[in-house]
Amino acid sequence: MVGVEEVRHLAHLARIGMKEEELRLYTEQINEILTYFNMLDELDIGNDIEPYRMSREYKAMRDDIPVAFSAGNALSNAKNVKGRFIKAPKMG
Amino acid sequence: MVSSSKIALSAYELVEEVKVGSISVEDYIASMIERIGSMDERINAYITLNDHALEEARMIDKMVKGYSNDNGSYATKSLLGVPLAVKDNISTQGIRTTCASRMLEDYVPLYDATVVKRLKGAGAIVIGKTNMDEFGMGSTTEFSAFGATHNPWVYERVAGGSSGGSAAALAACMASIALGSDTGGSVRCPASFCSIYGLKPTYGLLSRYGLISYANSLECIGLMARSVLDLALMLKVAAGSDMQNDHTSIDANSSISLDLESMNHDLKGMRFATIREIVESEGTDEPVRDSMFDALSSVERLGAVVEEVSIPSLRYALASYYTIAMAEASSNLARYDGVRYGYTAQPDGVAWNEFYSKIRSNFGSEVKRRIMLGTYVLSSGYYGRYYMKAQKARALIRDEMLKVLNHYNAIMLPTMPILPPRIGERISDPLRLYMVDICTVIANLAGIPALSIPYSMYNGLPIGVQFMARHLDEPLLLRIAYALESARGDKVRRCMI
Amino acid sequence: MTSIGNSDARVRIGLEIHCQLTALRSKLFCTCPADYRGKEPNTNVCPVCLGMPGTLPLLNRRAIEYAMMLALVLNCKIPSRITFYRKNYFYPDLPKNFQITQYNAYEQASVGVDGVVELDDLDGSSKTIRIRRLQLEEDPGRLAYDGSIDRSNYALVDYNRAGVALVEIVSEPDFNAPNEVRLFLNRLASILEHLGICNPALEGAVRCDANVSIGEQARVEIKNINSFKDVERAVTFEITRQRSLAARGIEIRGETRHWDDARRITVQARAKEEEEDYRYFPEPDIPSIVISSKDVEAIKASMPELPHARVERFVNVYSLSRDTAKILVGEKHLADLFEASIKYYDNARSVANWIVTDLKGYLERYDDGGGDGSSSSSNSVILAKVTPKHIAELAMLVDSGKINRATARQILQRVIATGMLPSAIVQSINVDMLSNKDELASIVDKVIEEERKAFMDALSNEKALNYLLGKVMRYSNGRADPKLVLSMLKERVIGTSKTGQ
Ligand SMILES: [Mg+2]
Ligand SMILES: [Zn+2]
Repeated sequence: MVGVEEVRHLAHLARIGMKEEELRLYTEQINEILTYFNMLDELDIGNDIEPYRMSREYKAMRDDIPVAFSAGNALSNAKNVKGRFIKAPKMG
Repeated sequence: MVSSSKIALSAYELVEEVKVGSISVEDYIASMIERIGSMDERINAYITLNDHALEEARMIDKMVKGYSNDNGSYATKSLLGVPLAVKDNISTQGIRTTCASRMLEDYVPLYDATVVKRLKGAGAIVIGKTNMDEFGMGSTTEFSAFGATHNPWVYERVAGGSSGGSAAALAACMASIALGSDTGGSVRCPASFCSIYGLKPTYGLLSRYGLISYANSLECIGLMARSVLDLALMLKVAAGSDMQNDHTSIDANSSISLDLESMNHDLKGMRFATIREIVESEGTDEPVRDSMFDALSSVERLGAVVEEVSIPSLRYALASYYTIAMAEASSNLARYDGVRYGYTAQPDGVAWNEFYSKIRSNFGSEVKRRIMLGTYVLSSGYYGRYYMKAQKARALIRDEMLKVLNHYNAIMLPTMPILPPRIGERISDPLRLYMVDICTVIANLAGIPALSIPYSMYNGLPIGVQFMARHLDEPLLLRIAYALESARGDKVRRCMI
Repeated sequence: MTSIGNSDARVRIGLEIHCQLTALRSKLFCTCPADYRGKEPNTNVCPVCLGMPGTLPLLNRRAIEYAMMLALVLNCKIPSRITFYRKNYFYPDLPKNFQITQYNAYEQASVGVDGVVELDDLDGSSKTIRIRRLQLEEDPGRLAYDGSIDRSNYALVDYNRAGVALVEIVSEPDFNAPNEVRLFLNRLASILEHLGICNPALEGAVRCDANVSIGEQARVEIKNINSFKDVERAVTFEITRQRSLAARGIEIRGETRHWDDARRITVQARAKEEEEDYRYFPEPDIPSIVISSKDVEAIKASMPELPHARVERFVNVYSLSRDTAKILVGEKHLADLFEASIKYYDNARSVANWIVTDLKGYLERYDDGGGDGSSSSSNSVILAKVTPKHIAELAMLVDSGKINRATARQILQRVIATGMLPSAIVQSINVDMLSNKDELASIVDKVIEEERKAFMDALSNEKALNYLLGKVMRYSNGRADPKLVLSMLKERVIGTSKTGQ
């Protein structure tokens, strides 16, 4: 089962900042829920069952016709802007 | 102002009056806004009201009086002037859409969801955006950044979730029809708890374009109403292929006939199945089981035959459902990072990982839990053990359900195994909360339509009964509901006026 | 030039190539125009490619067709069901914080798998490069900085490019030498141009990562190679770097390095790149796409003529040598120019020779001798000025003896400078060939006078004779008829030896 360090890594993968006591609480709850999910292990499903997946004919896909978006300013919800650019944090 | 008995009109009745000019839409909407103003402080069904609702109402009045040059096309609009409540995870152009999350507290969509566009096109007026569990993750509408929604029938009880605001708005006559979304029961659960109808359509029958994703392969926009005819009206307008926006939508509108009024009020020749594993489960409350058996004898009196079947793979339904939902959610919600929209901070001088982690710590506790679990089940080494197995279990459950539906017209179940819990009663134990979805998730796993029908009350607490049918057999579900609605008459109250 | 035969089996090079499908009119998953170049930041975007809540990807059918064409040319298998996956990672240029791409770990689901390309162009030897997969995916946006990246406090994002269709081609590490890489990329560029799906000359249209290892040593990834031309350089540098480390007994670390095209070296990536866990899973908003064998046949039938077939046609129909045909077809614009030119002058071999030797030679000198399959933009400027009619006239003037090749080359320069037709240039500067014996005699005599020693050598040495011929050509500004001059020189040499001078 998962320990606090593994949960810390999950929080990093998901980019969710967490305090220590939050990490401990989540570790406990995640373990409880994973224990429940583990019942999937007992499910003896051979490879004759395909995982569920929707499919569609290739011809049903969209035509290559360009339509520029004109219904409003695409940046209207961005708060950190500089000119026409959106400001984002720097990597590193 | 409009009298309180008029406020409770069904949509189809309201449309008749609007078209002959006996009700002014402006008056009607104004009365409803006033009602919301006086009642919603306690119920908390709405997050945002549409500032332009009265304006839109006036436009319709003008049309009806012939003052606008629409050449009388209003006569064909089947939802003319009907106040529509929209769950706050369905995009509405120009109206804030928050998903009941801090992360989107000031996000304003640039476009209408296809279903909203279609309902508006038929004359409906969006009156407001309704409360929900954050991003649809919950069964009680307690996990909302805007506070819990209260059950209009019993204030200290939950309204159900995650579309609790929409259900409560209908039950309290703060809207005439409503949209919800149903990923694992989120339309049917609050419908059952609030004594209204909640339809989860066949996967793909209603376009998902504009529905803010939680678990894409499971969720649908759902329809909520106080009468079966209203549901039928909504379905007719909302259904249909939207391949130009949604590659998972299906083209089936023409094959669905919804002429309810010409239908018989009986269920002769119908064969229904109940599922032993659920009816006999310890998790099912006694009053719920009693109500279910009562409903069973009702449909038998109407001419249907009911038999019990066993679907052993349902044991894995919740594990399969939650694994898939959390996996998809963990990826869908990655986009909320404070760069392009939503909650943010100044990025200057902040390292990117730190920035993202700080912004994203503002998700609510249940959302964080599901993102973390979803991240886990997809991470390398675990995909085969969890996600792949869950999809295989899903395929298995779907096959078994469809096999049952080969022999029976519908499957009959309680909607919720429990009565509406008290606010705060269940939310501290996540796993226990997940367990109450057992009767509903199976329709989402199989992609089939399911309808919760308000059936009875126990000590003032509503109890619904649920039917599931074959793909695209929504007309059958409506027919069952129509027969029960007629048979039950005044025994079921669907709005508290 | 090292040949394939000299390649070092211990050196293993693999390629990961990204090609934008520049011929598409809209992006891969939304209807925004595909041509983002030169637009104001964030003006070529819509709710879908900005990853706005509630939007869904809408797959461009033409993109699948183009990718299938390329997969077929690279001899890939096309699965009967192709599937898109999400690759999850956070990056500011990635609007959804996942990239919709393809993935083959759980099933063979990308547009193409298990292809092979035969490299047979050099020295008669040949080798097989295996293609692991060919997949469709979306391009991210682009980051910019206020001032330099180090000084800036934040990044600036432009999403205009986000969602543009890319084909990613991943080879097995089957290359053993840099020139094999070059050969492969030249071939690929020619295929892309012939299919008309990607213009490799557009800035950023093709990008390449390479991985290089020697023997049992660790594998080094080189990222950020932004033109096919630089790949051979980067790989050559990296092999040399690794060899010299090995020679000094220093262990080679598995790492990611970046190609610095200004300094022409690979440099260690700024930060140690984190071992990412991409959490791939099937994109639930795009159903698996069923491709029937009928669909594949229809795509095959719709494909334009490919390089291989075109070479055969040039050899069979126009009697070109195979080498000449290959050089023409190697750069589609040259092959097109050839076919257009012979409509004006039907001596195909002479037109082909003119293009392959004179025109191409000129372009290569102009283009710093990089020898890349794709033309640089300055070359395309030149090619825009040289029309089929120009080429036809030049070849015709030479064949008719009106001008010699050297003069024709000078005229080419004037064509490029002025756009005038060669016949008009000839008239205006009177550069018809000097074939008047009297006029030539004075020049010949002057040269013999100046180059007495060479003239004496010419009695016994052919090279000296050619030297004298060159000098006469120079004094005549290239106008002299070389055949005539040669015979005149020989006459004088023979005369001299007879008189015993
Ligand atoms: Mg790639
Ligand atoms: Zn777009």
